[in-house]
Amino acid sequence: MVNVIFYNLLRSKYNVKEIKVKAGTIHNIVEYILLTHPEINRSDFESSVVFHKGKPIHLRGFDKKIEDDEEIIFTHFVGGG
Amino acid sequence: MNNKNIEQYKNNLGIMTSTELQTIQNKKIMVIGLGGLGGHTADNLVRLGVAKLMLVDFDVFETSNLNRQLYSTQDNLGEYKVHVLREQLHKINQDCLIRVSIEKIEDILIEDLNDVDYIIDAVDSPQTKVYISELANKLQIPLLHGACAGWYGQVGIILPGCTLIKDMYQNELHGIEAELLNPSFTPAAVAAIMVSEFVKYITNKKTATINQLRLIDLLNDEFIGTGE
Repeated sequence: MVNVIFYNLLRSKYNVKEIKVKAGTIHNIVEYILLTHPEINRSDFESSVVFHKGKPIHLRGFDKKIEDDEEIIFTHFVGGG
Repeated sequence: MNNKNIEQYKNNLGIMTSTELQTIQNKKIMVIGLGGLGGHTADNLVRLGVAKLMLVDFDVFETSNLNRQLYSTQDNLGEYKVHVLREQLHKINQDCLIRVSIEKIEDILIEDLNDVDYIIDAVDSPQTKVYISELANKLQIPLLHGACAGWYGQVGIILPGCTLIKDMYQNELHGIEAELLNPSFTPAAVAAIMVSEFVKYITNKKTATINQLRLIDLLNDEFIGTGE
């Protein structure tokens, strides 16, 4: 299983912090989450940045395969201050 | 250190040696952006003992800044943030050398920044953050990155050669603070963590934020490392 962490916008909007899902590409993982959490807007995933092993991955890189026991973090751009 | 300095900064010596404090005092730090993050960061640095600062911000205080931006008051609305901060920081340490600029960081010649040892990124624009990370890389100096929105913040120490900030923000124009906004306490809390990470780095203590981000969730009391 892959440990999926929601951070900032997703966490704030949908009150979900962490989900375990089957290993697969990030696209697969998003589709699985959308099935189990239909309240989440697809666009909120598409505008996110995923961190995997310290590297940021954008939508066009969502075909990356995430292995069992790995972790990804869905976050969004923060400017702020 | 003279006797006055020893008395003023002695309470910092529980976490660092006097030699480390002197090292910090001798470094020149450029704080870019004096909003919620930058104002608190600059204040923390001066109270820590930093004695050479460059403050960069082209903006003036506005009413909407009053909820979170240190030293913004009803009395100084319309005044340049760098001028207000310089005056207030000199009240903490009158000997602190403070250079200010009301130019955009993109308009400052790199040749004028050769004496800067560290850069603090406290701006709100993603594209300015990208510019600043490239600037730090050109100057071959560390960058202390910070950002915040709502209950959340992120902090990272980015060393020369690391492209994390550019890779993350790419061409993005806006952050989620447009939606989550910024309350009174989050910038102060994130600024404090930025400075604590800076101290850890400069005193060679273990920190997980080098070339990574520390994601901060104040609502759930969580810190998450992007590289863990």
